[in-house]
Amino acid sequence: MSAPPAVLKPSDTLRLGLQTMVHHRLPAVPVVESDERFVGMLPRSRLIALAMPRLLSHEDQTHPLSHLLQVGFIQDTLTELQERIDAVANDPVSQHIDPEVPVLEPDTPLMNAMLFLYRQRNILPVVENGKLLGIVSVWDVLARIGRIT
Amino acid sequence: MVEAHSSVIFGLDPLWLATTVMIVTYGIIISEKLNRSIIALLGAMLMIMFGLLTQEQAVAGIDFNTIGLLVGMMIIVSITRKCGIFEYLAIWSAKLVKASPAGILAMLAVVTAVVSAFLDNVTTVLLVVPVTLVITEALKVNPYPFLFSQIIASNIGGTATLIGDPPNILIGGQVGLTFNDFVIHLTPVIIVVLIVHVLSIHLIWGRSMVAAPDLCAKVMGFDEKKAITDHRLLKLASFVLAVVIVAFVLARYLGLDSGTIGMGGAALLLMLDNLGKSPEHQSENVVKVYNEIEWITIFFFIGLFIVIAGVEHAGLLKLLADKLLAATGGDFMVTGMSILWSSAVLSAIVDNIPFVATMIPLIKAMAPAFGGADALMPLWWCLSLGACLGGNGTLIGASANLTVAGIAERNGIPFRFMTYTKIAFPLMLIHVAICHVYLLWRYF
Repeated sequence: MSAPPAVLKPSDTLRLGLQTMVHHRLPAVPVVESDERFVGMLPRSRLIALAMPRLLSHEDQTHPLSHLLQVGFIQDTLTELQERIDAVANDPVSQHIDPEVPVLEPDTPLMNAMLFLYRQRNILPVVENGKLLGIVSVWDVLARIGRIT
Repeated sequence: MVEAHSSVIFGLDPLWLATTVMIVTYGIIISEKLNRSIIALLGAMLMIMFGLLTQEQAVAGIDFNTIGLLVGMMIIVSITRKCGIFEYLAIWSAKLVKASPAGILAMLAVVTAVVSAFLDNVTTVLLVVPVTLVITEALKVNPYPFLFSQIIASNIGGTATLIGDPPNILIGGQVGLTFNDFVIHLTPVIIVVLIVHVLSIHLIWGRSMVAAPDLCAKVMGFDEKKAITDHRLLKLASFVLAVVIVAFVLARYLGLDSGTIGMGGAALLLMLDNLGKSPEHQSENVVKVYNEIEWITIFFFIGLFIVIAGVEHAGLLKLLADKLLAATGGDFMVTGMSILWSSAVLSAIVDNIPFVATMIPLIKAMAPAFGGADALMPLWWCLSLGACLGGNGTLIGASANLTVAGIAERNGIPFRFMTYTKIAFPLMLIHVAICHVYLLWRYF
């Protein structure tokens, strides 16, 4: 576990969240109340989703037939992606927290954390009694298992 | 039959016991407290456990012709859509009307109706709605009228053919009507109803819809050719679809039932799609396709067929048919029009599949009163038009309605029961009135 390089407050804007993420090269940023209470994670996938046509990021799991298999016909340009982000840039990050992010506790078995990291999560929050203790990132784990100091 | 009844538990009256099982089953289906496939299967199990049916009779009650057609068409769609043809069709039609919102509103209704005539309604809306949402977002227009219009169009288009809507699949399968019978008797009036629908939607929403020219230009910039990802599959799927449709048209001469045609087409397309692939790749491919079969619908049908076999064996449907005949004074026209309007109004409120599945044996039981099974033909058209079009009346009237409402809500588009019903119910009444006139003119 390591200390998170950056955290956000729920009232911070999405623009600040985006800047923080890019600046620290973080796959997800923990969101914490002023009393250190852990609220959730703002993942990069959410920011990518906000730049796309809404439908693409709201895939309906009960109806796999409704998923568009090929979206190459949509000719959106960079400007259009930027405009979509501009439109939500002043939203508070609390509106875009991913409730699905798994949370570790100090006594979570090591293998559970490994499995989360294997299944496409790159950064996991460690929470005890509702407070954020730190994060486990894929880099911490790779360094430890590869004896890289 | 007698054998099964002699073992009814506690010596209870089979008629009352079977009726109670059916009413409780339908009641829970309507309340939506339990997934409908679970409750239909439980109802079916009770029919057997209470001794109302033997397992053999229960299995004989399942119409495997209907199940085969449904599963076969689901497999064909699941493979066909991978080539992107449905996205291509929607974008091509939007560009055909220069991406004007009113034009797209009308075009997508027509495309939905035509696709729905050959595919299940739910499948059709699942394929058309996502592209619609991409187009309306690009045009910055309210997507609601488009989705509303597509719900209605899918239910209208589905009525036109044997394979378009589950009630028709049921009627065709159990009565032995062919694809051509449906095309000859229903398609003409459905074309009129579709034209009326497109005009009404234009009057209500289309004529006041505008989009900025630069946004229209953006949709015109959509490249439908990029939606086609697999040209080989497109050719194979088009070939199999053509074979399947020709087989439906020639079914009577070929001596083939629709279940055989649907499953045969599915097997042929599965084979063509997997030829030359490694065994592992084939397994993976086939599992993906089977996973897209709507198992809820299939198990719902299986359970329902057994529940209906139970009440049929107990003599309830014969009794109801006699009562209905007495109420209509045995007049053929009054009976036909009562079936049309009661099916329409009831299908707007309850699922039309259990309703139609119950009505079929009930109408069959009227054959002696009206001079044999062949004379009943117009009554089947009354049932089909009423039940399929009635489903448009409210948001819960047909599965396609709820499916679209679900997708809309998840995409932040409010889809309320009353807002829908206020416009849809009167439109449905107009559509059924058109059918009323058509049926009187042609058959009574």
